[in-house]
Amino acid sequence: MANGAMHPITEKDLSYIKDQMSWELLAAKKAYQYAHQTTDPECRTLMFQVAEQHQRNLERVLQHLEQHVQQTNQAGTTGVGASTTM
Amino acid sequence: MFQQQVKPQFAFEGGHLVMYHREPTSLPKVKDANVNDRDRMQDLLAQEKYLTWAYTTAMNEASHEELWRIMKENFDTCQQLQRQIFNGMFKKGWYKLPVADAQALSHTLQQFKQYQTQFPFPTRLEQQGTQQGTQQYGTQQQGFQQGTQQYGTQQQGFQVGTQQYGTQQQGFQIGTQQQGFQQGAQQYSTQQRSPQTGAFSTTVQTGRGEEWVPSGYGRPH
Repeated sequence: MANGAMHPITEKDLSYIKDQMSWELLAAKKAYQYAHQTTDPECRTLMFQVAEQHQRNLERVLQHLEQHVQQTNQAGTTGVGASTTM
Repeated sequence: MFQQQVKPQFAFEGGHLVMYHREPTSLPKVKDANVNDRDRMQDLLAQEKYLTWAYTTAMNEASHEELWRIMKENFDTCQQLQRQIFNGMFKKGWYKLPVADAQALSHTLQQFKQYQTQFPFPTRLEQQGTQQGTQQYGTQQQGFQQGTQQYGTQQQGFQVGTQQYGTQQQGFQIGTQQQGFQQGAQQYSTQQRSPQTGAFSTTVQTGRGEEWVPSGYGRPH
């Protein structure tokens, strides 16, 4: 991705990306729900913090995936080497 | 909020010294089947532990450089959260941690200090506070000879002498254990480096004088 060259995402990479996004989504939702359930203000603040941080993590991975897909599509349409070969 | 360390308290429970923090908590007095705050925090903590482990595995397997960096970033934040949750739980008094036995501590220290003869490089460990006769916890001041820290100087490693042991014993609080400790220490080896050849050799101090044991790269036979 640096210096313009597209590094392909392997199948293994992709399965980890899927896993990570699922974990982070679950983590964010869970912490968010806990934050609403708790009566302790300190715990609540922390739980919201945890929830937000996990959402950011998810977004980070998602953004990377999106960029990658966009670049792959562009490369595909202009014919500058597809990233399907390893 | 939870980031700062709280000052722990200590108590004896079941023959063990435990470290904890006491604070009025929001937990119900009589706990029922409902999930309470402690359960929630425990679950979030377990979740972070799992995530850091999972990210580690994923990073080990990753081939994509940019992806690796993203995972590292996520890993770092998870680990940070794990710490914050732990600190929070400790502050709430939901963690009671047994303190390690002082005797076991000093035993381990001695054991691994003896392995200094096996260190491939001259040690940079420094003697702590022996000469000052500090009031600190006894385990810190066991016989590292203050001295040179740079490479290529004549003596690295630590030197054991009766004089230091006199000082050390005063600082040490464990009682009967001192004897064995001292005897064990007299068999320490000192790693030295020859100024001419630069090679390492090991001196074994037996208490009967010194004998030289040439030992390659400082590894005892």
